Parts: sequence; C-alpha cells; structure tokens
Amino acid sequence: MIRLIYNRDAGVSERERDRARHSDELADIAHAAAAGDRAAIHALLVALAPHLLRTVRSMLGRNNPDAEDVAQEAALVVLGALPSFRGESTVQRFATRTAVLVAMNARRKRAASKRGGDQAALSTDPDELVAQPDGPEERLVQAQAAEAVRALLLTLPSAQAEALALHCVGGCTLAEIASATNAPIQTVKSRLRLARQALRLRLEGKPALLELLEGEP
Amino acid sequence: MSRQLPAEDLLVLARKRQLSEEEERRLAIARQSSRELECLYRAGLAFDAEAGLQAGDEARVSRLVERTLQRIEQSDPRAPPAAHGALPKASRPSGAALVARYFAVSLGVGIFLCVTLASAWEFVEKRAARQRAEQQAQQAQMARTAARHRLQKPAAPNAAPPPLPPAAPAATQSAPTGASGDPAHPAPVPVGPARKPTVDEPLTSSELFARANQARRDGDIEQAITLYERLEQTYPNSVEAEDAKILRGNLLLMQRSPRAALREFEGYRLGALSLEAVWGRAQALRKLESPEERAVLLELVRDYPHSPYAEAAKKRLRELAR
Repeated sequence: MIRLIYNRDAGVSERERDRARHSDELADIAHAAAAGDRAAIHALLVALAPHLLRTVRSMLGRNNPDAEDVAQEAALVVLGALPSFRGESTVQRFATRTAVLVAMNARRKRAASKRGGDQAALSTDPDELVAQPDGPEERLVQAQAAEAVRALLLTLPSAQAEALALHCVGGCTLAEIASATNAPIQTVKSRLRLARQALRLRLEGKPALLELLEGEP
Repeated sequence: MSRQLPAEDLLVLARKRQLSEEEERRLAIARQSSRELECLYRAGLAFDAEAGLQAGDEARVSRLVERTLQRIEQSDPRAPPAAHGALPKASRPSGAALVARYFAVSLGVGIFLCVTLASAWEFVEKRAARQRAEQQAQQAQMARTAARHRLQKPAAPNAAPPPLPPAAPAATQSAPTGASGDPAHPAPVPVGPARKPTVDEPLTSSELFARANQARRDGDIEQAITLYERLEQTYPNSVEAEDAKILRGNLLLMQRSPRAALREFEGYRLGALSLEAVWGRAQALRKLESPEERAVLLELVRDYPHSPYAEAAKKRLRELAR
C-alpha cells in the first residue's frame, strides 16, 4: 500500500506555503473537498482527472489497458490524502506525485505477478511511429528510451524512483520535485544522480539502444 | 544575465521549449557528454507525446470521475473522503517514531563520517604512495642515465673515480640496496630483466594486482602497465581489473599516451574510483587538446562538488573560458 509520508522538518517555510496556496487556483477547492464538500470533490475530480490519466498513461505506456483503473485508484488516493496535504506544492503537483507513486506500485505488482500486463507498455504501434512528426526512427529511439526508464523505475529504491519519475515523466524541475516530495533540493539532486548512475549501468547492457542514442537526434 | 541551471532543469525546460540559446548550447554539450542524459531527454520527449490527448479521452475522463464518485458514495455517503477506510492516509510520526528516527539518523551520520574519514585516509595514502613512486622513478632514471654516461666514457687507468655513487651501476642490474650508504644518493630501485619473468607466471587477480602495484611503487612503470593490462585481460570481471583501469590510465598519462589513458578511464564502470575516472578523463582530454574537456570538467564539478578535484576543475574551467 502506498503511503504518502510528510516530513514536517524538511524546511518549507510558512511563507512559501502561503505563496503556493495563493498562486494555486485549486487550493480552495481542495480545502473544501478535504472537509467533505461533495460539490468541491466533484469539481476537483473534474479538474484533476485528465491530468491523472495522462500521468498514469505515461508511466504505464500509451496502450496499457489498465491506465483507467490505475488513474481511478490514483484519484481515490489523492482524495484520501487531502486532509494531510499542507500546501507545500500546488494541488496539481501533489496529484502528479500521487499518480506517479500509484502507477509505479501498479507496475511493480504486475511485474511481480508476471501477468504480462507490462507487455502493453512495451508494444509500439508501427502506425503510430510513422504518424509522429519526428519521424519513425526518432520516435522508435524515444520509445525505447522511455521503456528503459520505465524498466529502471521498477528496480530503483522508491525515493530515487519517485524523483526520477517526477523529473522524467512528470517534467518537474529540481525545485518542483523538492516541493512535491517535501525534501531538500540537495537530496533531490543526490537521488537523481544515483538514478542516473543506475541508468548508465543499465544502458551499458543495451548496446543497440546506445547506438541509437549516439546517432543524430 | 543567463540562469545557471543544472542539467536536469535544462532537460525539463528544453521539453517545454523555454531555453535561451546559451542554455540550449549548454544542454547540447551535456547531452553529448552523457549518454544517460541523452536517454532521459529522449524518454522525456516520449512521455510528453504519450501524455497527449487521445481519441476518446473525454469519455474516459467522464467515466473516471463518475466511477470515483460512485466508489466514494458506496463506501460511506456521509463521510468525507479522508475517512474512507480503503484509502491510504498520510502518516505523521509519533514521539517514539521521532526518537527512533533521530537515533537512526545519528547512526547513519556516524557511519557516513567513518566511511568518509576512511576514504580520505586511503586517498591521502594513495597520493603519498604515488609521490614516492614518482620520486623513485626519477631517481632510478637518473641512476640509469649516469650509468650510461659512465659506460660511454673510455676508462682511464689512472683516472679519478667518477662522481657518481659506486653502487649505482650495479644496483640497476641486480643489487636491491645501495652500497654507498650516502643518503643524498639513495640506491636505485631494482628494475630490468630480473623482474620480467614474473609476467608469465600463473597468478590470481589479487596477486597480479599486488605485483602491478609493487612495480608501480618501485617506479617500474613499464612493468606496472604490462601487469595491469594482463590483469584486465585475464580477469576482466574482477574488482581489481576495474581499479587497474584507473591506475593504468594514470601511468599512461605519465607516459604521454593520453589516448590510451582516455580509453582506460572511459572503460571504468561505476565504483569507488568514479571520481578519479572523471578527473582522469579530463586530464587525458586536456592533453589531447579536445573541446570535450570542458564538458567533463563541468560533469565533475556538478557530480562531485565537494571533492578534492572540484577546485582544480573550476580553476581549469576558468582558464578555458578565457
């Protein structure tokens, strides 16, 4: 089971929290939803659902049939964790983090049960490749790189995996990851550095991908 | 004034097309020098593409909202989602947990300090050993040169004795210690054919490593390089072979073979000497006058900001910027 742990000592000042709250248009809705306001819960779900679905889809793979179920699970976790959300980041960033963690958990479970659920993520539709503006070859490299990162996420320690997923999948900067995970920025840097080292080792075992990566983008 | 963003942030902003020209140039250098960064960049592009809208997403989102609301209603229509029994809640540590965490952190810090001190001590020792080896190598070289000069001079029957220590020529051939007893002219280290046959003996990886290290400390650079190479070829997957790459790379640099040294440093996988590998790469690229030197120095400063090499790397970067 996923637990969202908040470190009270991690050093996000009240002023920063207030600033995040005021600049976040979903903060008030989230506050009301946490108190049990049905209309607010509905409004928050409508606002976050597309974002949750996109994040989960990125984590699991575009054609993964479980994406909707996992996104729903993520939505429930977000709602359940709202009372302890203290506004260190925006609500959307909070939801991103939750979706990343839920999706990672789902992938780990499926990998452990060997049901082949990840095969959907591995498959790449040739028609989709041809339709990409970057060209099929570049798209293939990108798909393989994405799959390498997804596979790496399964093997990394959870803190590193979370930082890498927020960075690579969620498109978060170091400061955004730090605020979403309530960790000092140096810690985030260190986690990403370790994750990159692990990726380097993983790539050494994939000469074909290395060759593609070294080609012209 | 341009922002000094780390490579990770440059990657993210590049995906959002928010980089200045200077930042794009920096990112290109970083991507060229790091394959994993290139992989992360390409993967990020794929994730962005996958996150895009798909046909039927509107229906999926509506379904997602409805089903989530139904799940909440089914469990307890009056309870707010926070009271939902099936949902995980954020946990806050209790007093006992905080104390346990405090001790765990203290223990961790203690272990970290011990490891750091041990590493620093090992580093200092290695440094000192390297300096000793260099001094011995210089002395041996001087002794060899002097011996050669003596042999080239015709021997005069009544000539005065040569100014060199009498033990020097003999010591280079066989005697391990100086016979002169003169502290200003220490005996040259034993080098030459007497030690060469050991190369063909069947040895374990540890023995080979030890012999190569001994040869290096004795100033017999050629022998050390040969033994390290033999270790890498015979036991390519051993821990010693990995360390040998760094040591051999350093010796090759001393021997003015920067290209071969660069291959050694680049071949080093992740390990305790990763920092030395990066620094070695920078040194080799400097000798080769390669523009990639800058990227490697930047990598060192970024990845090892508190290392002993960071200051030297920054100084060199300033020189390159001029």
